[in-house]
Order: sequence, then C-alpha cells, then structure tokens
Amino acid sequence: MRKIMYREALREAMTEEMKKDDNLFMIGYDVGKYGGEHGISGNMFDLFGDARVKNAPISEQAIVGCAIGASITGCRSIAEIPFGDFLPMCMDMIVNQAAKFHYTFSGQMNVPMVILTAMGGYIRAAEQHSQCLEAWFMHVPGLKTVIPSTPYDAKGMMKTAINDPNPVMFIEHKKLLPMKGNVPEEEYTIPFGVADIKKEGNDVTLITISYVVHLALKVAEELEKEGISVEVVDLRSLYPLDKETVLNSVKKTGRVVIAHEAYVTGGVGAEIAAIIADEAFGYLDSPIKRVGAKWAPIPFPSVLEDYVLPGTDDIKKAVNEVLE
Amino acid sequence: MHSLKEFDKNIVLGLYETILKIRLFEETQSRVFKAGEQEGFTHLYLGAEAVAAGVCSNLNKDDFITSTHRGHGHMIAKGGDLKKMMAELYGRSTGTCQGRSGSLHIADRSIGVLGANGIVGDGNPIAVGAGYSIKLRKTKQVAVSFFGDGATNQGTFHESVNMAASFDLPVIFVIENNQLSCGVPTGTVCKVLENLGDRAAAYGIPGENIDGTDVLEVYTVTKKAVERARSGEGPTLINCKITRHHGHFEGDIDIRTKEEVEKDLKIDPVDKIETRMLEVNMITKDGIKSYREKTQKMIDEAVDFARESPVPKPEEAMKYVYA
Amino acid sequence: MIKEVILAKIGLTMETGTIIKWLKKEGDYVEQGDLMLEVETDKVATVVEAFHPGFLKKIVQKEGSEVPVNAVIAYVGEKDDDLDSFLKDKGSRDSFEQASLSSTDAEKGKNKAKGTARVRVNASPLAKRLASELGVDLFLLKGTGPDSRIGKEDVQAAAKKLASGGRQEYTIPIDSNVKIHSEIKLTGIKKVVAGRMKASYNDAPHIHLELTVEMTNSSLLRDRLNKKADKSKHITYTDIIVKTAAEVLKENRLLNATFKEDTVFIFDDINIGIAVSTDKGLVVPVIKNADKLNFAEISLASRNLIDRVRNRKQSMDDVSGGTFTITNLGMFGVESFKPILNPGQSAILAVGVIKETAVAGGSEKVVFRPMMNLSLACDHRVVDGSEGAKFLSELKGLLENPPNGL
Repeated sequence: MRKIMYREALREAMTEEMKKDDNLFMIGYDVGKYGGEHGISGNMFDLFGDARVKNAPISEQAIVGCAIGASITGCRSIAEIPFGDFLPMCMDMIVNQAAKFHYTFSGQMNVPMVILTAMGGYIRAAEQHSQCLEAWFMHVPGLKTVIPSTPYDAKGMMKTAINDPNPVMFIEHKKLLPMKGNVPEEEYTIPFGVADIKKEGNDVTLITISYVVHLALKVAEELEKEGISVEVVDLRSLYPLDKETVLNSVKKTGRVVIAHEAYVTGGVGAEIAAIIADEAFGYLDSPIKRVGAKWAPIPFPSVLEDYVLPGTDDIKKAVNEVLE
Repeated sequence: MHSLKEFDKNIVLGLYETILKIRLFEETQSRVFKAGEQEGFTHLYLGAEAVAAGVCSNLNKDDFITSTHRGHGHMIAKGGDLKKMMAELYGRSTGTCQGRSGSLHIADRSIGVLGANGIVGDGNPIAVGAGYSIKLRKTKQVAVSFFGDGATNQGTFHESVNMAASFDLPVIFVIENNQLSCGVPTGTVCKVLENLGDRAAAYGIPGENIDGTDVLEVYTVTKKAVERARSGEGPTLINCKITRHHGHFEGDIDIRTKEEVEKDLKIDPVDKIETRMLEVNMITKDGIKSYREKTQKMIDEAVDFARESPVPKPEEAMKYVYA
Repeated sequence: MIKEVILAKIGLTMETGTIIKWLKKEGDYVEQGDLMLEVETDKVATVVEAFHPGFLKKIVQKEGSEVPVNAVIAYVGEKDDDLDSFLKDKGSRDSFEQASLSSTDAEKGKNKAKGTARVRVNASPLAKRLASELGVDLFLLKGTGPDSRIGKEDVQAAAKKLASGGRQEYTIPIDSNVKIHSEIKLTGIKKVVAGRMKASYNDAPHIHLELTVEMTNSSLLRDRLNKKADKSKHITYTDIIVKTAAEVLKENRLLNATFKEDTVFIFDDINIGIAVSTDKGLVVPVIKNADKLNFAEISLASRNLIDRVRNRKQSMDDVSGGTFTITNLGMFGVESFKPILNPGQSAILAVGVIKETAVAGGSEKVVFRPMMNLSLACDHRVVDGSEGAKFLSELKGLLENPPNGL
C-alpha cells in the first residue's frame, strides 16, 4: 500500500469530494495559490480555481460566517482556520450560529460545514500558536468534533465530515501533518463515533487522541518488553464518542490511563474518566489516571515547552501507577 | 422626497399595506405581551416599518434576508404567515419554528428569512455567505442584511462589508439607524452616527444616507442597490434614519427622557404615508379605516390561532440537535 | 411431574453429608418410604428414605460426594417426564453437578458481604464486585495495593483458598485510641513460633484434660537416685516425667502421632521434646528415643540439650524430630495451664508446681501431700476423650507408684 502524508491525505479527501459537487468550496486565508499555511490545500487552487478555493481576508468571523451563510443557501463549505488558537476569534459564529441553526429553526436549515484547524505544540511556536482546545468544542451540542491521528484516519474522516449535514470541527495536529502512513488508492470513508484500537493489550487501557497516540504507542512498545501489555485506544471522534469500545476495553483490563496534550483540568479526559467511573465502576481495579499538560500557557523554548507538555515518561509513570 | 405621483398606485398601496400590517401586528404584540400571554422577551419594530416594507418590496421570494432581534417587521415584509408568526411568539408547536425559537429567532427558510439573530451584527457574515453562495451557483438572487446602528461598531460589520466588497458579492447592507444602542445613545460611542452610510467609502462600495421613515425613499434607493447586486456589481450600504418608538425591549426602562420619546414618536412612517396618500387622494379616510380594520382582523385571527395552538411536548426539546 | 430429591438435614449441627451408597439406580421405581441411599454426617451414618414416589430419573450426586444440606441429589418423576425441559425451565446450569461446599459458602459470603458493605473497606470497585460474586468477605482481607487497598488479585487468591477448603483469617486491628509505648518486631525464632502457635491453634481442635498427681513416691525415687549420683548429674522431676510419659506412650500410640489430610500417622519413635524458655524465645529440644533410655541417660541428654540451647549452640537435629512435648512451668509456681499443641504432634503435657496441698486422707481426715497438676492437650481429630484420659490415668498411676529399678 502506498504511504502518503497526513496533509496529502486531507487534500485528497477534499479534492475527491469537490470533484463531485460544484457547490462545495473552501475558504480561508492563504488557501489559494499559496497552498495553505500548512500546505493542506496544495494544488487545489489550480484544480478548482478562485471561486472554489477562495483566499479570504484575515477576518475569522467573516470567513466562518460566510461558510455558514453559504451552507444554508445551497452550498457546502470548508473553512480553514489554520491555528486552533485563532478559533476564539470566531467562537461566536461557530457556537452561537453554526451549532444552533438546525435546532433553533427546528430543522428548516442545516449547516453542512467543516471547520478545518490545526492544534497542538511540541514545535516551539509559543503561547498563542500551540494550544489544544478540543474540549471547548466537545462541549457544544449541535457540533461534531473529530480528531484523527493518522493519514488513513484523516482521509476517511474528512470525507465523512464533508458529507455530514452538520457543522464539524476537524482538528489536525501540526506535528501530524508531515507524518506518512498507509492510505489505499480506492475511496473509503470512516464513520464518526468509532474509536480505533491502535494496539491490543490486556493489562492497561490507554485512551488517547491526536499526536499523543504516537507517544502512547511508543510507551506501549517499551512496556511490552517489560511484560506489561498496554491496549492503546485512539478515540478519533470526540462527539460522537465511541463509548462502547472504551468501556469494553476497561472491562477487559480494569485499569485506565487517559492521555492527551491538552490540560488535565477540564480536558476531554475528565469527561471520559467520568463516563468510565459511571458505567464501568465495578470493573475498575485502580483509580483512573489522566495525563495532560501542566497548568501553564505553552512556553516557547524547548526546555520549558517539554516541561509543560506531556511526554512518554509521563505516560509511562501513569501506567505504572495504575498497575500498583 | 419623491412625489407619490411618480409611482404606480399598486406599489404605493402595497407598501402601505405592509407598513400597516407591521404596525398593527407590533401594537397587538405589545398588548398581548404586556398582558402576560407570552414568555421571555420581545423587541418591537415600531417606528422602523418603512425600512422593512421599502426594502423587501424589491425582493423576490427566493432572495435572502438576515434579521435582528427586532425581526418581526422583516419577516412580515418578506411575506411571513401571520398566524404561524404569532404562534411562534406564543411558543406553540404550530409556530414557524415549532415554538422553539420565539420572538428572538423567528425564521422561515421557505421565504428566504435566514433567521432573526440574537447576537448583534451576526446577520452580516451570514448574509455575506448567502451572497457567496449566490455567486458560486451563478443565480440572480440577492441577500439583504438588516442591522442597527449599534451593529456597525461590531467587528463582524467591518469584516463582512470588506469581504462582500472584495468579492463583489450581491449583498445589500441596510442600517436601521435609530441612534440608540439599547441603553446607550450611539452618538456617544461613534463619531459618524448621522451619516453611517459614509462608512461604505472605507470599503470601496457605494453608501447612502436616507430618511428611513419615507417608505418611497427606501423603496427607490433599495431598488437601485438590488439592481446593482443582481447585475454582479457588488454590495451597497444604505443608512436608514428612523426612530425607535418603544424601549429596547417591551418592559425596558428607556434611556431617553419623556420629551425625547415624544419627539421620536412624532416621527411616524405610518402617519407619513397615510398623510401623503390622502394629500393626493390616493386613498380616503374611510379607505384607511377599512384597511386598518381588515388588517387588524387578520392579526386578531392570528392571535386566536396562537392562543388555541398546542404547546410543544417537553421531550421535543431533544429534537433537531443534529441533522 | 419431576420432583427434586434433596439431602435433608439430619440432626441439629449437620452442614454436609457424604453419600456412601445409592441403594437404588437410575430407572428404578421408588415408593414413598423405600430405602434410597446411605449417608454419613459428622455425627452419624444413616439410611435415607424416599419421600416422593416415582422413577429415579437421574442421580445428581454420586457415591463419595460430600454435599451440603438441602442440595439436590437426584430427580424422580413419571416415566415420560422430560427432565431436560424441566431443568431448562428451572434455569439451572450444568454446574449443578458441582454443588459443593463453595456454593454454601457463597451464600454465607453473600450475606456476610451485604452486611459488611456498609462498613468502609479499602477495596477497588472490581474487587468489591468480585468479592460478592465469589463469596469472599472483604472485611477479613488485607490488600496488597497502595494503602493496603484490596484488588482483584487479592480477592481471587482468597476465593481460591476458600474453594480448596480453606478459611479466611481475621486480622484484628489495633485500637487507635490506645497509645503505643514501644514496638518489638518479631524476627527469627519468635516470629516462627508466633506463626506456628497460630497455625496450631487454628488447625487442630484442642481438647484439654487435667488431673492432679500425688508426687510423694516420685519424690522419694528422685532422692534415692540423686543420692547415688553426682551433684552436677542430678535427676529432675521433669526427667522423671519424661521417662514415665515415654513408657505410657508405648501403650497409647495415638498420643504419639500426627494428622494430615484425613490420615493419622503414628510415629515409630518416641522423641520427647522439652520446652525451654530462652531470651530468644521458646525452644523445644528433643530427647530422642526416650522410651529406650534410663533415668540417668535421660537426665544427661536433657542437661546437654538445655546447655546447648541456652548457649545458642543447638543443632538442627537437637530441635527436630519431636513426637510428643512436655512443658513445665512449675519452677515459676504456676499451678496449671492449658498448653497449645506443638504443630505436627497430637498431644502435649503441661506440668505445674508441686505444692503441699490438703487432700482427703481417708475416714474424713485431711492430710497434706505434695500434689502436682498435669494438663494434657490433644488433637481431637486423632485422640478422643477416653484415649487422652487413659494416658493421663496411666501416667498418674506410674508417677504415684513408680516401679523399682527403672
């Protein structure tokens, strides 16, 4: 099977879908000839032209609002907000408008829109370009939030996102974009609400998302040599959430670690932990441990950033704690 | 000011009918709301009737509008069903949004009303999106965004006008300038309040400053803007000066003094059009009486319909979260 | 219609019964009152009559099975009654064949667990759930997790012990309202002894028998023997008792035995251990083949052993191989005490002080005689009351009337 980059997988998904629907367009600053701030749109401008791969002014609210307005009047849209850190600038459009149209207007209008954004650090991009804010969006009814960790998952889930009649937050990670992975030539989709067990195991359930999936796999490999069998569960989809896979894994191992890059406090791990404590209570042999960033903005230099953000050592420590 | 004689009688009468419908609907709404028959809040369009009437009479059913918290007038002018509207205000399941949106978010996609918005100025980016969609699909539709003077200080206004201008989108931006931002006289927070239409120059598009209580003025200026938009030449900004007759919302403590309110009440688009029609004998006093009675009857029927309509079931709160 | 045949309770204390022999076979017709099977309980062997008439459709518990009271042991019914559909309706699973001790314990455990569920115990949710399912009492467990948290493995280990006929042990907590003056952590011998004491006390059901012995004649014997011997080679009362007990054991072999897994092993030799208290704890050096030694030899062996033990120079051989133990606290003035069996032995004799005591002297006279209390503890699985009594009375007889020339 061929190996392509995560960003290429996204481009392929969008290209395939745009070929099928002339009323599907992409908008964002730098998506045009420049090829996108993260190189995602690439050659799409050449393929589809200005009207469908539209360079926007630096106006996040207008970009998202435009995508919304177009999506309720006969088109479908992909709005790229290249850094998750900029989403606060258009939270109103996402939360008060897009997420609520279908509900408030009782099904008269739906918003088939994808907001494509890159979150995450480990790249020394400093406080305003490194945040993980997925928890904010998991908390909004009317939105769907997905966060694939591999090129294969990214392509399949982007196609699903574009064809979903609801507004979808599609969250990539900057470090994942150049990562290569197996992606079949044929078209395929991956449904939302289905987690993926990236590695099976029996002793501990390690639930994780996005870039940290890869750190988790590394830890699992190391621990395997010490005789500890870790099951790595990649959630892939925050809303809708695959509770069944999570609970089945917990029932099998009885021990849980949840690891993500975002802060432990109020992170998605808190929600998952609560679900497990509620619905798999009698299967827990030790308390649930969470791994995440320490409670500080993400600093610039590597020595400080690597202190704040979680690493393989933090994950390993947590796994050993639940095994006590 | 244009002479009535310049216009087709049917157009004038049509505009009058719409203005009257809005006026009487809102007055009725004020009465039933104050009588405690509805929940929540309501913001009345009294004083602005000429803007909705004048703008919307230039629009087709498949043209789009975005509306504000003060949105009953827009919906009526765009052809909204009075019964379904009143039922919506009463929160009944026969309402335009099955009772779930109420006064603040009244909408009817089938007639191009893309929703009254509770966030000041948020209609602008959405109207831009509608415009973008029109251009992408290559139709002759237009999108109109209604908003107040207060909204012109929001970031969304600047971003939207700039984007619509840059992309030459078929959007008409209509400011309903009553010089009040809820409890703040807008003039204290904006240096160009009188002639907000001049802001258009900052974005490279045409802008107008007109008497928003002269329905024929509104009609004429909008007609030009709509033609400009349909021909692909891009957006226009129209600043319509009006007064607000009631408080920001029904039950509000008005920031104005008693004298200021009385002064504002005297600037009345209904009086204006009736006077002018009488002047040129386009209508008689009896004719006015007859129109009023006929219109009020329609509205009373709408109120009865609403009062007798069923309340939604509690579990319906969980419907429509996702498409 | 299918009827269940259950093992009814026979007597007050019956908890289980062993099926010795089925007197009917599958397919036989039984009338009400027919003799159906032979059963042995803890107290009695008996024959069970059939209560329901009918064909014996299926024997559920085979000969040799130990079955709890009220367990189903067979089914009777009409010739064309379908047992399978009856069982399906009843919802039983195939494991009815395994109805055994653990299921009764599970019932007890469930009730116990319900009761203790209100008391806070440091156990993981999984452990709590498993404990109630497996009939393990969490309150009796000490966990191996952080803060002594009880985990799945602790519960599973306890359940395994229960299933193999074991018993959960109770750890008494220290009252937190009492101040501790000092701690002595048990190590070495003391630790071992503590463990063995507990095991012995738990494992063997002790019976205690006592009598008093008039030591007048033994005292005379002792004086006589010591007159001939060196001062450093004096014979003690303990020596006399050791020799005498060894003699009596020859004819009372059950007190020179051990018990393991339903079998009594009678020792070949008679090796008598004498309990010695040292500053390192209790040590029991053993006088090998005491029945074959005379007084002087016993005395010598005893003195050497005690000497070595007191100087911590005892060998492994010195302290192993015992078959019977004698413990004497008379030198402290203790009149009597009930000893705990030395684990692995079926009897132990405790000796008290010899004291001038008023006793009946015939014709309503009261006389003073040197009296000594003997307290015998036996493993009731091996030695019953009459056997212990026989030993004691023969021992008393010999001590009160020692034969000459021993």
